[in-house]
Amino acid sequence: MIGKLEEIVLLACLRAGQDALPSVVFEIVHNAAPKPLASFASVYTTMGRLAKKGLLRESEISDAQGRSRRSFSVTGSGQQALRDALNATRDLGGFVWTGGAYA
Amino acid sequence: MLKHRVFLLSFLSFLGGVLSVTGALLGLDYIRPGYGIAGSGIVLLACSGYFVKRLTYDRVSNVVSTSIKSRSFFVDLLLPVAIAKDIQANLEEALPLWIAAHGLRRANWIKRSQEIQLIVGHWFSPVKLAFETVVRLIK
Repeated sequence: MIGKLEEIVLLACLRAGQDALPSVVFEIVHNAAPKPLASFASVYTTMGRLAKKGLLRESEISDAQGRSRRSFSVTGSGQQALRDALNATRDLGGFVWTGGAYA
Repeated sequence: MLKHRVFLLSFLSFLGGVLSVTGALLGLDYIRPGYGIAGSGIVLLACSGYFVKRLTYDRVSNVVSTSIKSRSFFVDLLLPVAIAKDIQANLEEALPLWIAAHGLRRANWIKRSQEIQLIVGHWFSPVKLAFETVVRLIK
């Protein structure tokens, strides 16, 4: 089972789309209300680790300035791992026990 | 420092203008108020131009030149070349987020802190991955 940070990073990668740059993924994580969920270093390191585990696919793209950049896409295994993590939260009752609710 | 000299010059020219007007009001003929006021006015204008430049142009050019900082020595030293380049490109793109949230000076401190964490994370990640693999095998 993946950890919470890995779950957040995978979700942010899905939102960022295919061949997402770490800076774009971090912007999504950073802008999550009400406060940033993780630092850039932890997001970047987690993305590298997820790529080694096979949950993200790493590729090389050229950015607008012609620099070679690492980009990441969520693989099928990554989507399955994310589904398992989110289902586990839901199966335990999710917000029911904390008195909160999805916004 | 230049800033202190400009302040001093502004003050002296203001004082000169006040003295020349006072002298004229007191009827002291040897003090030419016109020259005093004109001279003070010119110096004051020049000094205010200096402060306007400091408050406008220099702030903008500082943000531009400071935000595009030189490459981090320790990132280049302690990380593989490809990863170092990628990290610095990503940090450059993330910097505006921190500037917007915390201001330029703190954003640069955050950037430095992130560089250190990235260096540590890069070398510590394989250890953590190996540990997780061992735990998974044991389970």
